[in-house]
Parts: sequence; C-alpha cells; structure tokens
Amino acid sequence: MPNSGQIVGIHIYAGGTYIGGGNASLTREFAVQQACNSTHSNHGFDIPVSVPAALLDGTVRDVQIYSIHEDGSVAQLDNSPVRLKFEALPGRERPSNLGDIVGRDLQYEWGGPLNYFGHIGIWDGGNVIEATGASNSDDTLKITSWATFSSAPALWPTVVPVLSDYAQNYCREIICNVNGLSAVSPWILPIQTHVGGLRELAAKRAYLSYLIGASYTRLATFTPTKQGTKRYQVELCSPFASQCNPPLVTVKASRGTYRCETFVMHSWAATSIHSEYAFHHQSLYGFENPKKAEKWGRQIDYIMSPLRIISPKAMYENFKKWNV
Amino acid sequence: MECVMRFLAIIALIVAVVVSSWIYIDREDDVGLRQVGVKDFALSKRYGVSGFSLAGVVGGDNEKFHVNKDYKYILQQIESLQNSVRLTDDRRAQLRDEIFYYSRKANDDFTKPLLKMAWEKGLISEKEYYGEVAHMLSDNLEDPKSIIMEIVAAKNSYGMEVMFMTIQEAPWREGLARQDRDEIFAALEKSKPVFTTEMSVISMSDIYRYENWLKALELFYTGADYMDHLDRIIVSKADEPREFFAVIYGGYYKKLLAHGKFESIARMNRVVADYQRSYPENSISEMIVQKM
Repeated sequence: MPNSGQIVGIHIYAGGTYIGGGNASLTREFAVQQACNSTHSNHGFDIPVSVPAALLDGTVRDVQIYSIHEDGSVAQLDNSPVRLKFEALPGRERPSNLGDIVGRDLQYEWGGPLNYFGHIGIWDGGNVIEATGASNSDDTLKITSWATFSSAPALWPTVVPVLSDYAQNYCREIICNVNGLSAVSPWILPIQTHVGGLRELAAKRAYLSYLIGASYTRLATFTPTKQGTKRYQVELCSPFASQCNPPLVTVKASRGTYRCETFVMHSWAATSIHSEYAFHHQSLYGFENPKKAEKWGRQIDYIMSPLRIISPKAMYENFKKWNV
Repeated sequence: MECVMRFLAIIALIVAVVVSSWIYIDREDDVGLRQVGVKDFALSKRYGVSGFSLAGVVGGDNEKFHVNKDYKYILQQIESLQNSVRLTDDRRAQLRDEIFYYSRKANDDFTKPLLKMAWEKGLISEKEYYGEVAHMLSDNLEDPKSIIMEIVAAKNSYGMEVMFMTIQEAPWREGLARQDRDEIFAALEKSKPVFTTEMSVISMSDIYRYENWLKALELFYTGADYMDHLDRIIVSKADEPREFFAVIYGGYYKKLLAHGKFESIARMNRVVADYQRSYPENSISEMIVQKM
C-alpha cells in the first residue's frame, strides 16, 4: 500500500500511451519522509522512459503516474499528472494554424518514383482531414490524428498558405436557407451566417465535406461536395391571393469525388468569394477591403487553373507563395 | 444529296436529344427541382407504375455517366450479388454511385432498405450507411424518430456526427409530438461527444461536433428555457475545459449572459483563462475567445 513498506510498481503514461514502468524501491532521504508526512521513505523511484517518436511533436501532454500495489489495486500519485512539453523531433512539429497543409511521401513498397508525388491533408487545429482511398474508395474523407499522419517516415514540412486574412460571413450548415426561414415572410434573409477568417473557412469547408461525404477518384478532376438548400416556393403563390402557404423544398447536400490534393484545393477554393465554390451566403464582413478578396480570388484562380499540374506535390508547392 | 441531308438531319436529331437530356440533368440539380422526381414517384405509386425513375449524373466532370435506373433495378443489382463475389473496382464504384445518387435524390420508403442491403452486401461501409441514413433526416420522412434511435443505439460516431448537423434543419421537427421530442432529446443527451486530442490541443472538428450537439439538443428541448438547461446541466457539469470553448463558439456565451446566468459566465471565464494560461501556444483557443 502507498504508506506501507511493501515494494510497489510504477506505470507512467503520457496522453494515454504507456511510456515506462518499474519499481518504487529506492529509499529516499529523511526530508522526503517528513515532507510526505509518512512513516518511511522507501518508495522513491528513478525510472527511464521510452517515448515513442509519434509523441515527440512539440505538444504539451499530461503525464500520469500510477502505483501498482501487491493486492492488485492501482492509484494515481497525488502529484500527478505532471504537465510536460514533448519537444518535437526535427520536421515533426505539429502545425500551428487552422487550414495549414500537411504532407508526406506515399508509402507504396512498389511505388518507387510514385511515392514522390506524396499525399496532403488539411489541418483542423488538432487533427488532419484528408481524402484517402487509392486501394479502397469507402470512407474517403477521414479525420486522422497527427500521431497517425506524422508516423510516415518522410513527413513534409507544414505549409502555411500565404494569404491576407480577412473576415467573411458564410453559412456553415449542411442545409442553408436560400430564401428565408418563414413561410409568411420568406423574403427576409435568414440569420444563418457566421463570421470567420480565411483559415477558419478552409477548415470548416473541409469538415463540412467530411460530413457530406465523398468517394475517391484517381483522376485529377473532382466533384465538389455541395451544401443542401431549403426554400419556400413562393413563386407558386398568386400575387392576388390574400394569403399563401408555399411548400418548403429541401435539397439534400450532394456528395463529392476527390483525390487528396483536390480535396485540399476545394476546401481552400471555398474561401474565395470570387470562386464558384464559395459557401452559401458568403460575403465580406463589415468594412473589409474588397481588394483583398479580389487578390485572393486571383490566387485561387491560379491554383485551380487546369493549366497547372494537379498533383499533391504541385499543390503543396503552389500554396507556399503568392502566384499572382 | 438528299441522302446526305437525311443523314445530317438524323445526326442533328441525335445531338438535340443528347443535349436536351443534359439540360434536363443540369436542371435536376437546381434548387427545388428535385420536386419533379418526387412528383414522379407519387404518380408512379398512384397509378401503379413500378419503380421510381431517376435521371442524373454521377461522378466528376470527366467521369460522367448516366444513371437512369429505378429503385427496383438498383435493388435487383444488389440482390443478385453473392456475398462471396468480388466485384471489379469499376462495377463496384458504379453501383456505389447509383446507391448514393438514389439516397441523396430520394427520401422515400425505399431509401433505407436499399442502403441497408448495400451495407449487408459490402457495397458501402458501416460508416457510410449510418452517414447516409443520418442525411435522410434533413428532409421530410415518415418515421424520423426510429432513424435517430437506430443511430444512437448503434453508437456509430460518424452517423451521430452527421445527425447532429442534419436535424438542425429538419422540416419534420415542427410536427413532432411532445413525447417524441422528449424521447429524442433524452437519446441525444446521452450521446455527448468526446474530445479526441490531448488536452493541450483544440481540434476544430471536435468543437464543431460539440457545438452541433448543443444546437441539436436545443431544438428538441421542451422545457421553458434551454439556457436554464445549459446552465444547470452542461456548464455546471462540464467534464473538461474545451467544452466551454465549444459553448462559446456556438454563440451560447452571449445567450447565457443575456439570460443573466452570471455564475456560469464567471465559471467559464475562469476555466477559459486557466486553460489559456496553461497552454499559451494554443492559437485556436485565442481565436475562439475573440468570438465571446
């Protein structure tokens, strides 16, 4: 037991991952006994830990220490968890901004040069949203933990897309009202918009696509996921009628088809009000300068151009600099 | 000469038919025109015409092929598959596209059985099945409660995630009996999302999921004031600090303030400040706090 003289085992976990263990059998100095208000100081320990590379990504983690007793009972030490920063191995730092583009080499054993083209995804602040499916088209859009994504041996440095951030209104739902919430006064625009910067919009669009669903394609062309709509069919109302009860028409969101880089490309293209992929109700917020949106629109046009090579590597490079 | 003219006339006719079919397909995707399909379906039932004809386009710009199959045709194709048969990638992809196309264009009695069979035959995954079924909730349907209960009972995290979002715009919600609303509310309340990353990290996907859960709960709440519930149950009994960031992101901070829930507000302020002090490098927490 903790206050007995019995030898106790120690297990150490970081963020739920076992990183080391041993016995607490060292006799510590008398001052420790006094500080702990104990009858002895026989449970000191000095245990080396083995931290998996996947945890060495610059994240602050809670480290829990448990004592394992002879009767099988387990207790967490009073002075744990201990908050520690796990310094990143070179090149494995977690991305720091929403919408950052993460990439890695492919890992086909037979792939050879194909692996160079790589694979990219989009950062949502804690996980990677990515399109995968070269071998299986099911569940194409996935949310993958950084530990899993970064476990590839050839991880690419994170790209922070160049942009001049500005705020926009947008509909962030799966189904957007296109002509109002009310059958009585459908011409009143719905209060269904949210405000966010470009990075937030890119991450949100990736998440919306994940919810809407998509299939995998090996081609460099893509079909974007589309938000659904609902509206009152006011055109069916007679202008001479004293009252009208127009039917509500809902169109479900439609699925897309993507390859990894076209998924990232579409998520970012949706941030431009000048692209055909913008959210419903997307507009500049407040007094934002329209020229910023125009410049960003030209950047997206360049990146989306069919004249560019569409490959994960090329897309990754295109987002690194202003191309216009 | 006359022969050549006839040949050209036939070619022109073929081109006109093809072009007009594409125009129809484009219109099919327009807002509101899905009703055309629904009307066809209603007529087919009324007059005993078998099946429900769908026309449309599946796939990307370079992958277009026509789907002009009725429900029975798709069902026959799926039923005829032996479980042990391994389809070619192309055939499987085509069948999947037809199933998904039907699932998104129709919301009728056939949709769920079709999806179920597709799942049982291995054409779509479990996650895709529950996701598609959850998408059915965004439009009118016969028995939405049974679908919600099925998703919750299956504990399929993707299905629930989609459901939290789709039921927010559900047109059938207004006609629900109070008892049904209460049962749905209880089922949703038990499905509280969990945060998937280390405490020091805020994934926006986790925030969106939690925010959608809060909004879904609000829409099925039958009590007098949802802010009371949020105050008593959610804010006071939060398991971890990131829940407060989701509450803020969902716009509930301002609503709590407007409803005079000052204890909750003080608690949120304290926890959020502690979190930011503990993890000063977390830029997402800063972005969310700016929305307070």
